[in-house]
This record gives sequence, C-alpha cells and structure tokens, in this order.
Amino acid sequence: MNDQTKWLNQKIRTGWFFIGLGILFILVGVYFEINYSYIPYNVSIITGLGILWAGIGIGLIVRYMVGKKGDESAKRLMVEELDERNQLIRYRAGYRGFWVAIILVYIILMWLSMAANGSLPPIGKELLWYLQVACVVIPFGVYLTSVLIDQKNL
Amino acid sequence: MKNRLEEFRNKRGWTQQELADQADVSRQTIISLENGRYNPSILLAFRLARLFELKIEDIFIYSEEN
Repeated sequence: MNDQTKWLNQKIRTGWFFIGLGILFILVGVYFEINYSYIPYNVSIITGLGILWAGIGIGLIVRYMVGKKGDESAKRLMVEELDERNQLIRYRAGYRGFWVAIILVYIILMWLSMAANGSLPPIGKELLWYLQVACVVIPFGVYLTSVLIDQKNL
Repeated sequence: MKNRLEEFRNKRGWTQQELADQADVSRQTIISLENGRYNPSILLAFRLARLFELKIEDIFIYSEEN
C-alpha cells in the first residue's frame, strides 16, 4: 500500500468517524426530544449538531472517494491538500476568521453585561439567537472570502 | 525575493505541471512562485534546487530591498 492510499484511507476513516458521531448525536437528540421534551433546553440543538457531523462525514467520504479512482488522482488530491501554499491560505483564512469571531463574541458579551446593569438596552431572546448565528456565519464568511482573495493574490 | 524558476524550468523543457508533479506541489504554487507572488518554504526551495541540480541561491535571489 503506497503513501497516497494510506493517506486516503485515513481520510475516509475520519469521514466514517464523523458519520458515526453524527448518528450518535441524532439518536441522543431524538431520544431527548421524545422523552424529555419538558426540560427548559432546546434539545433539537443536539440533533442539529448530529446532522452537521454526519454532513461533514459524508462530505469527507465523497471528496476522498474521488481519489480511489487511481493512483494519479489520489496523488493529485494529496498534493492539493498538503500543498504548502494552500495550507498557508487556509491558515491565514482561519486566523482572520478566528479574530473576527473573538471580536464579535467580545462585543456581544460586553453588551450583555452592560445591559445587565442597565447601561445599555437589553437584548431580547430572538435578537440574541440571531447574534449567535452571526457569530458563526460572519467568521465563516470571512474565512471563505479570505481563501478566495488569497487564492487570487498569493 | 526574486527567482529564476521559470528560466530553469524552460531550459529543462518542463511544463509547470511537470515541475509541480516532481516537487509535490500544485501547479498554482509553481505559477505563484514564478510570478514572484509567493516565497517558498526552505524545504520547498531545497526540493526545487535538488530537482534542477543547483544551489538554492542559484534559483532564489534574496535582496535586502524586499
């Protein structure tokens, strides 16, 4: 077994791991939704996470199954993934996304603590939900934009 | 940092893809290197120098201005 095949198999195993984790989360989420619907906690978040993990797993398997077509496609896939310029682009994007996330969370936490002592208007539950979504979506958008810009400029 | 990668590649008659395959990098990385948009890691610089059977400083030219 050559290096590419070993690398591919390891990636596919990771995909299966995520699918397993996702199924586990979905089962736990559904179990809680059925049996503990009275608890003051939105248990569908657990199911949602399970769907996310399973989706990531399926994505990984689909991506790396392409490399199973032959040694040449496996090598191309491995080179693309381990290419130092591509890695640099991903690291830079991750760094930018991370700091945007930190700043957003910091602003929201500051707002919440100042709202608690009456210095700022309070944030309603619905708005808080949207702000939480923004804390995930905006950094992800920054990550994708950064990747696209660096792919062009670097 | 300037480099003479394109010159040496053309001398050998290699395409960008052929050089990329030998250096285990993507073709886009070779394009970026040749355009001077990207500076390689020391490992990649050594790998490229070995491929051309040259020294690193024959291919990559460091200048204080950069």
